[in-house]
Amino acid sequence: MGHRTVRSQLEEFAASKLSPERKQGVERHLAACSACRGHLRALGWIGALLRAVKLNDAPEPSPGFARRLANRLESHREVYLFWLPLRAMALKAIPVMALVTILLGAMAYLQGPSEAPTLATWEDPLLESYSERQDVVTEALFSEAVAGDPNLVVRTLLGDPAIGIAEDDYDESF
Amino acid sequence: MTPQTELVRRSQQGDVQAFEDLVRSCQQRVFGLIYQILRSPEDVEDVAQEVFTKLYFSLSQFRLDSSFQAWLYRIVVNQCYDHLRKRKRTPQINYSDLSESEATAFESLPSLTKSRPPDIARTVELREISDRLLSLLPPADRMLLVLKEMEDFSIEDLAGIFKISKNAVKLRLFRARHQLRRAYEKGRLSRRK
Repeated sequence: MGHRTVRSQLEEFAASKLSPERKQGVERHLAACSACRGHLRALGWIGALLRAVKLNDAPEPSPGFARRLANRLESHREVYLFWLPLRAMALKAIPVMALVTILLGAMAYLQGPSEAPTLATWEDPLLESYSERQDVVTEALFSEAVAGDPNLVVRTLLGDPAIGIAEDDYDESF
Repeated sequence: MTPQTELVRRSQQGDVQAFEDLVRSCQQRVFGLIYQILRSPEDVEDVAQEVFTKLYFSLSQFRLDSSFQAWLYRIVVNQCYDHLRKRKRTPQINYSDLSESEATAFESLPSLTKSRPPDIARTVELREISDRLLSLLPPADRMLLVLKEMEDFSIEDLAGIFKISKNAVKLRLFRARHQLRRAYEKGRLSRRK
């Protein structure tokens, strides 16, 4: 017999409720196992302690306890019965709400994290036109430096429709 | 149909007098059980009221062909369990908190099995120690042990009340005793130091 089997039978062994064969098996094990003997001893003294301190002086119910209780509960009965269907509905709704929450959570998880726009992928038409303008200005300045023509920049800007300067904005005196 | 089951049947039909009689028929036992488990007289009536309130409002779910006693005791155990769990939040002692005098009294426990004239002072002392020891156990294990050793419930009864298998009852009882044994040994060690 192993420890586990013996320990599961100690209760009946101590109460002399085991069959003779099982009792013999437990006794053989106990003769050789000090740990299980310790458990048997503990079973004895703990039982003795708890029986010795058993409380036999339980407080009596106060006079009229049953009547007061019955009357109080009867007065609460109608309120309880009124709320009972709502309570039942609320109790039924809890698992449904939990299921919906789990489903929503699972869907959000399966979709993965939403991708934030990066500079590389963010396409802004305004930014693109600004970039084009910069290219034109750079090119003009470069040309100016090469050709030594100071009006090249202005001419280039005014002559290029992509720059977007309206005709009205053009100052002739410039 | 037993008289008690008859009272249950009439209470299910809304008979207040029958419910009052039902309470009266089992209040003594309920008070005793609660007191044995909680071991504090001031909480007994409050918990008993909760038990009977729960009983009243769940009467409609009770099947008359099942055991009323087992059903009632399950309610008692559940209420006591809730109460002990709430109480557990207050600071508890450790094994090493046992004083030297307690450890001394503790060591002489095996001699309790010998029949001796009752010593009130000693009984009070032992009661204090056992209360402190029981407070070390998880509420469910503590209730199992108390019902088994003090109220003489069988393993089968306990399995029915706690709605667990007989083997699970044995395992929990073993675990509870093992924990108390460890407390005993630590108490003895702290005395020797």
